[in-house]
Amino acid sequence: MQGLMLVSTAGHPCRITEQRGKEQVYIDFVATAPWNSPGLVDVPRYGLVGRVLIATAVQLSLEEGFRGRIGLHSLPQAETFYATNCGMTDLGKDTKKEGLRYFEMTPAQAAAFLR
Amino acid sequence: MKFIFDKEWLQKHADRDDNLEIAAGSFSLDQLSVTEGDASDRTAVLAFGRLINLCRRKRGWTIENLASSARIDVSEAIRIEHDASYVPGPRTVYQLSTALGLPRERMLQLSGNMIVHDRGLGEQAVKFAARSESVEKLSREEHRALEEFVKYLNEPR
Repeated sequence: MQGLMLVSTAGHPCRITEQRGKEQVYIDFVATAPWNSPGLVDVPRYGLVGRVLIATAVQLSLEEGFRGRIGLHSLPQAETFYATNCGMTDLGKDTKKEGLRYFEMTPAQAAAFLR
Repeated sequence: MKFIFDKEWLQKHADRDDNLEIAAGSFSLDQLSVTEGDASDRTAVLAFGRLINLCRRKRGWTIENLASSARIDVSEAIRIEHDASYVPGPRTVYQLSTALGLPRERMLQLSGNMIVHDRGLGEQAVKFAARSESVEKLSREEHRALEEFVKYLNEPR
């Protein structure tokens, strides 16, 4: 196993204004295995684990009829990945989730991410 | 599930994703809030606030400078330095560690966000908290700030 992801397909409605209240895939937890984490080892054994997992969440969202909408609370060290590399919208700190920043992906952002 | 992405797509993004962390979800925080009766952890939190205070002053930063550099709220920076019962969130600790060049994992432990497995750290935190209490007279700036605040408090409403 090179990474792990836990998702919910209910109970986490979207927050971005244009899709507020709509259903999405919410990522409760995602992480690479320690030996693939650039924060823990100098040379990760496998790269792209995060991209594969996020793409899988987007695909699940499409299959569920959520049009690629996903949401998650990023740990501080991963904010760049979600904002820049995944193109998700940063909705700021969420005080109900230990101050982690909440990110959400719209259908248009999902399409761009998969290109 | 048949994947809609392929090897080419992954190769296209390989360079951009290099060396980026992906962790998300509060389950990954290994978090433990500090309980009222846990004296050693409370001392660690006190030492955390004192450490932030000294590191900030060493750089000649105001609390506003610190909050701006770490991208946290000024009110939170004040609480961190002056409220020993306040446990800042992991994001805040991460931002402060980065801004001040301090080790993140140790800072998460000190701040009460992670269980302190390291007994040595607890002992050092107590020693630091005890030694770092200032015995010097107020500086000119501290004196002026104190005077102004006391004057404001004494103004009739």
